[in-house]
Amino acid sequence: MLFNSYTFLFGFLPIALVGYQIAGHFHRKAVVAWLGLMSIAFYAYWRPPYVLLLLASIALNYLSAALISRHIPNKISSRIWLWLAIVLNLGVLGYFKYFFPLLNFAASVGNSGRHWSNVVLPLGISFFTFTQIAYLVDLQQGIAVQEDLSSYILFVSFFPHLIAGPILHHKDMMPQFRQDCLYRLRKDDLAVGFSWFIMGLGKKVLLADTFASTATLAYAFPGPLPALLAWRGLLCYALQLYFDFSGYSDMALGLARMFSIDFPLNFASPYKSTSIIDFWQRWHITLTNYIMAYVYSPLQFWISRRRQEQGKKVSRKAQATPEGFLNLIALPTLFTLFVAGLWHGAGWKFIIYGLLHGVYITVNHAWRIFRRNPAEPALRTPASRRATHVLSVLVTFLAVMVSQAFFRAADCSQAVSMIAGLCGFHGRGAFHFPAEGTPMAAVDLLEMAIGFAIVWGLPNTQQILSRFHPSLHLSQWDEAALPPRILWLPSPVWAIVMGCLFFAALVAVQNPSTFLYFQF
Amino acid sequence: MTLESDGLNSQTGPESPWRFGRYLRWLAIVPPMLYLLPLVLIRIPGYESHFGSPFAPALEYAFDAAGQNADIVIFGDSAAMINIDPVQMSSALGLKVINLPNTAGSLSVTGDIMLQNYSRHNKPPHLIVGYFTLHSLDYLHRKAIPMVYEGQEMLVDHGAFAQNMDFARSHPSDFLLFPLRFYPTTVVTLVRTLASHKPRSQTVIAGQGHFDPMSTHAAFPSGPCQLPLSGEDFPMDSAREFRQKYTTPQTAVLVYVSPIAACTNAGLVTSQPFAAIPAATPRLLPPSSFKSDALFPAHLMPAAVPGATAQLIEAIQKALPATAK
Repeated sequence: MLFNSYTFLFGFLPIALVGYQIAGHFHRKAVVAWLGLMSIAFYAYWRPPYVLLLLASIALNYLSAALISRHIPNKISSRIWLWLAIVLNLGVLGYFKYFFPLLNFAASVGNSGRHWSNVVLPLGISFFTFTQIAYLVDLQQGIAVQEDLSSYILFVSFFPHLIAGPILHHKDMMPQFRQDCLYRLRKDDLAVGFSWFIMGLGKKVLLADTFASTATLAYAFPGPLPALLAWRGLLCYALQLYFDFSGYSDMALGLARMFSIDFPLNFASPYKSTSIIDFWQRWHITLTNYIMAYVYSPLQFWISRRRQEQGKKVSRKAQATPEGFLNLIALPTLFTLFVAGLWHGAGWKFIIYGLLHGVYITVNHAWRIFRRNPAEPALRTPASRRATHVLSVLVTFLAVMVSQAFFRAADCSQAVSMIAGLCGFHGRGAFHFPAEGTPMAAVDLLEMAIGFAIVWGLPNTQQILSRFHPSLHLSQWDEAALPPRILWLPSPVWAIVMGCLFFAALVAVQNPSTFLYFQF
Repeated sequence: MTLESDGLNSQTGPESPWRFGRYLRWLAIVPPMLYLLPLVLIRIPGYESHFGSPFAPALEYAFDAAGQNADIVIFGDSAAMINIDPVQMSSALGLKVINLPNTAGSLSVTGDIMLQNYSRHNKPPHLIVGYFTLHSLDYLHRKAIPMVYEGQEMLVDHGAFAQNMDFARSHPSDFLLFPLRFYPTTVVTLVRTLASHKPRSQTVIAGQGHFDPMSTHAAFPSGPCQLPLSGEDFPMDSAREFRQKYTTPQTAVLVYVSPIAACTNAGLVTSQPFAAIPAATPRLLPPSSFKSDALFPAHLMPAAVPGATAQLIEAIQKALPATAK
């Protein structure tokens, strides 16, 4: 079920809210069971048989947790149970996500001419698999505790995050599920949550879907794209992806808040980043935190320990030597971003997308470590600081945009052709696509200008809602002071603005489109 | 059921609980008001002529025909609106001819309420011409109605409450979506109206109901072609009932099937049992006489309109009662 559909807005959501309120009069467990049931129904709406997969995954991991935590007495090492569970989880994920693409790749290398059709990828499989693996890892390390079954089901399947994140961490969610004082609809949380949901819905259906048509035209263009069209296509895709993912994240966090549950932040104006390191702390924040905690840190720890065993240093000074930098920074970074690329899907384009970002981040680290005599910010004039800031934002955005050519393309050759088009290797060309006229292209240009004005010129939604602590925690960038007029208040004026925005979104929802991150 | 309003947690800041309640009430009021607004706006006189859907000025013309007292009234779908010229007919026949245009979609939604409306405010015509494309011959019983919006627009403005409820029962999703479709349609029309120098309603009045909102469409490619047909039968019940309903001692009724493109499979059309209505077999015209429609080539290019009108005049001369000649 899509958040941006009438079925969800006028059917599922009101039923979920009313049931939540009624169940709250009975017992906390009734509420947890109700939300769990609704979440399963939410998932089943898409493809009922795949609910069995979700339930099997939950059952398997809950059983693993009981074995790891000795709630089911056994004499086998908890580490063995953990590895078994991880292998099983990754096996299922691998079958649905990577097995058939790998077979096809092998067939193409072997020139066998055979082609296997992909199985339908269960929605959100990466999200619920990784959420559960993290829980088991922490349980084995003694950071988490065994939860009751209903809370665990809700933790994994709670519908606002089930399909496309954010990736939840048990230490953020379980304490909230255990609170007895919650479980009544609260006007304050409804107001904040629904307003945030409306802002996200607006981003998705009024902005992202608008830019989608140009991006689609660009990627469906027969032959090499000339420069102007390549720029238009990639800029529109950058905007589409931004508003799509940002809109989804706002909707997910807003929905959770309507049930008085706070999610971690997942998106914090990433195109305002002044470096790639900065970008990854703002873009898909929960994925970044996940791979940092469960891939990068263990790997770096392992490398550091190996170096120490060999008598080598692991200090900051050691990182500033070429050999130390390569081993302590570059290798873990490249490997982690390779995994992040692979997480998005099978195929060279995702691997290159990940590795490209790995290279970007490595270069970014190198710049910070090896740059000689950087000018002290305090010594520069405001104008030069401003110019540096703008330049940093533009260079970062450009790097991200180039990587997105791989993210969106059907394959690597299309992405390379797209980038060649950007560089002008296919000529300058006309500004409008054959399927559209000049006026449509001009309107598109105006829409892009509005899109970038929103991206770069306006505060983000969590900043607008910051008076009411909309998420578990705000990012460092969101805590900047804003003019009071921009801050959301439960006032009639804001209600009218939100009501109009909601209605405009309802008008646009007539042809609902899926979210780009659903495919992961 | 009451919502919790006391014991605000620390997340909600310094706002009083009643302010959130007031906020939610306002938020609950605005979308329904915007949803219902089109139902009021559409009933403002002249609204559709300026801001309605692309076909609205022509459809509205049909409802504003009080006192026209025409000798010949043409009623049909969009082919009647685009393919024939009542001014040419008036001068050729020496009789007053007006067109009460419709579209395939509006015809299915509003049926003949505009003709009933005309009959109430005018003297009976000598002849009513039912001018339909092949697909509209059973317009009252079509399952999938294309372009339903303009018909709903007319139904909201001119239909009785019971007629609107009938439509709601038979097409609930179209009924509920109408106010949401209203806004994008109005915005597009507003832009077009601002860009155009000539008011659309004047064009319709000058043409006595002839109106071509598809004037920029390209011609159907010349050369061998295939009509998008698969040998299906075409029900004609509505056209037959229409003929029976309006035939009176004062008024004759002629059902005329609009011309079709002379493609290689045109025989699938000409072999249909039109005599059962009764109606003549549709004329075949060169494919390049037609506009390149997305669904079916049914609308004529402007250059082909005089010829098609002359053919209709010929048929009318045979059908006119002797008293009218």
